[in-house]
Amino acid sequence: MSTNEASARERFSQVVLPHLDAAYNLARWTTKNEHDAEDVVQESCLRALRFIDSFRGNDSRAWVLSIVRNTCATWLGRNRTASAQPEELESASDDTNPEQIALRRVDIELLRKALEELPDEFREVIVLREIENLSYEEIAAVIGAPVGTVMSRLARGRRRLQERLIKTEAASR
Amino acid sequence: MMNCDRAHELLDALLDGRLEETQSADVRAHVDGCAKCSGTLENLTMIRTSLRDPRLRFSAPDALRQKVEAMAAPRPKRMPFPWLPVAAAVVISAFTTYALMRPTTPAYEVALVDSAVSNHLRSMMAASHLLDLESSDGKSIKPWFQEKLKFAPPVVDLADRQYAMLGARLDVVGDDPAAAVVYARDNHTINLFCWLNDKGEEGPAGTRLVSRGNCNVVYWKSKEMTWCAVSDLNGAELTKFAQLLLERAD
Repeated sequence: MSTNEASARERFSQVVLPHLDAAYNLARWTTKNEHDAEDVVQESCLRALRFIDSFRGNDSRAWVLSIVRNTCATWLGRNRTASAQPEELESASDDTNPEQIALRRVDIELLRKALEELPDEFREVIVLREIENLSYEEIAAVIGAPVGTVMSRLARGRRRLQERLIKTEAASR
Repeated sequence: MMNCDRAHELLDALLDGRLEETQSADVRAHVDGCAKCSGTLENLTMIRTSLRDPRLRFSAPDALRQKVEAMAAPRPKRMPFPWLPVAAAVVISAFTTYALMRPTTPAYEVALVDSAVSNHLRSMMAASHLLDLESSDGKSIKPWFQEKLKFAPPVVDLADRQYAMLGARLDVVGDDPAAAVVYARDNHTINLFCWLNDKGEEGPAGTRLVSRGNCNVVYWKSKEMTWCAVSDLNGAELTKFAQLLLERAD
């Protein structure tokens, strides 16, 4: 085993392994399926190992998550049929300041469903911000978009979750 | 005094702690006197708290963790799959050393060998990755390819030469959708990839054998297809396998 190979492995352990849960969480929310998430993460790790020398930054988590995100995109492109993305028939308008009622409580299962049903571009920023606790700048690095885009998607995603939860709560009253 | 629409836009930044002190104070002053904005802020705060519930974060399953740790570990003491450390070592050597390939090998050939070796290793990592269709009958595999891909390569039966056909899988080599037929010889698994060569690249004259770590790779071109066999079978046997295919594929 040459020194290069040994050091690649060692770097892989330091750079990639600590973020395995974050990688799996992102893949799981994106593919919405545990088997696919496992496959995507495994493939992402092989890619990360292969390109470990190209990682020179100091934000290993953002680097790993960007590989996972790209692998998910390739994977979804290969496996998802055109109709698999739920159509958004209702609430197509993005009225960010509607008349509203206050939520009394949030049911975790309803929230899970609402988050699953968000369009990909909103769901990924919410998962990265709220569940993984990434900063705007880190999210921008992961999704390869400007910070302004991150902020607007986050705001719209949060409003959609709110709207959805209010509707469910109103229906159950 | 901040108006309602502006304050509403800034609620997310406030929630994320991204406002300067004075701006933050302005927004809060508005929110305190505005039922609509304070309602939204309360809702968003409640949603954010709920999103941080551990039930919404998925953790990597143990089996996945073991596989990934095996990629990093030189010699794990006990593996659930004894071939994993070997596979991990091969991945590393395959990806980090190009030295084994002749310097005159065109870059796209290096890339296709890379891709085929990585597919082969991945197919060996779990039983569920090896076969999409289990069959020892070439006659049933060919129409299956025809249905899934826009081409159907000849599927050659070599059972009389002690190469058992296990089945087939769809794969991707480089950017090309590829048919993969899986053969076994003694304890060795052979992945035979085949894809359309419609990009006009020149192929090697005859078959070419290269080694990557513990894997041998033989590739060649026919009229319309590029073929690539990957296995831990020794180079001479794998070349013979390729030649048998060449003879019988026509």
